[in-house]
Amino acid sequence: MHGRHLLLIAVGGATGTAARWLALSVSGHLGESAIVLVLNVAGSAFIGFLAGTRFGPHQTKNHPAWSAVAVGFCGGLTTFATFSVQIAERIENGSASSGAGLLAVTSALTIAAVTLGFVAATRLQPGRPIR
Amino acid sequence: MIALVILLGGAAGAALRGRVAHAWNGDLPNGTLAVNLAASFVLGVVSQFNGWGDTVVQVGFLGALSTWSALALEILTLIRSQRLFLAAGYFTASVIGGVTLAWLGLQTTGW
Repeated sequence: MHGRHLLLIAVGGATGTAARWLALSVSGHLGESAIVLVLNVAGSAFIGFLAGTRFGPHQTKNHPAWSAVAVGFCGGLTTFATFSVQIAERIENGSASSGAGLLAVTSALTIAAVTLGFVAATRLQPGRPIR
Repeated sequence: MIALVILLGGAAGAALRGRVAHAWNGDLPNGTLAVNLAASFVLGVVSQFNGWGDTVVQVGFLGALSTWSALALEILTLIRSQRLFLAAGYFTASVIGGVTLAWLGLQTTGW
């Protein structure tokens, strides 16, 4: 991987992380789990949309925008580790069903979001071949 | 100060994820799986500590090292290429593995 792409990933990642940190710090009564869920769904929709555009992932050489926005920003905005720990903590505290619910809702919504984002992008660019 | 260190942690986590994904992702997204599982375990361990240094590691580095967006897109890509068993296996390995490792991380209290 070229150094320039790594730098773009780092800058995008820092920006996405800052946005996640800001959202978590103003979460208030909404709660950390709800904020993380919203961010994970939003980041999945965004990466799905980008994947359906000409900036989408490429087998040999990614567009710089893909490195910065998809790998960097969306990756920094979303988090898998916090999701895992939130569910593990629910299991630890005896509310395994609540953990299973969070797992199911997060999985269903993120996969639906990435699909909708991708489909929206391809619909907005009729004639563009779908990779 | 804390904002700057969280930014640096996020940059480092994302860059490491980019490197590992580039090196290990092939037919299957092994690199994404590896960073998500590793970050889940380490976050389970460090989530038991409370201090600004831990916030930096948890929100910054580990948050950016792991990703839901790439996982979701990779599952969609596997489904679109008709590799449904691989999609189901990758999804299951990620969420069951991630939660199990996070739970194991939480068990390290008092080590």
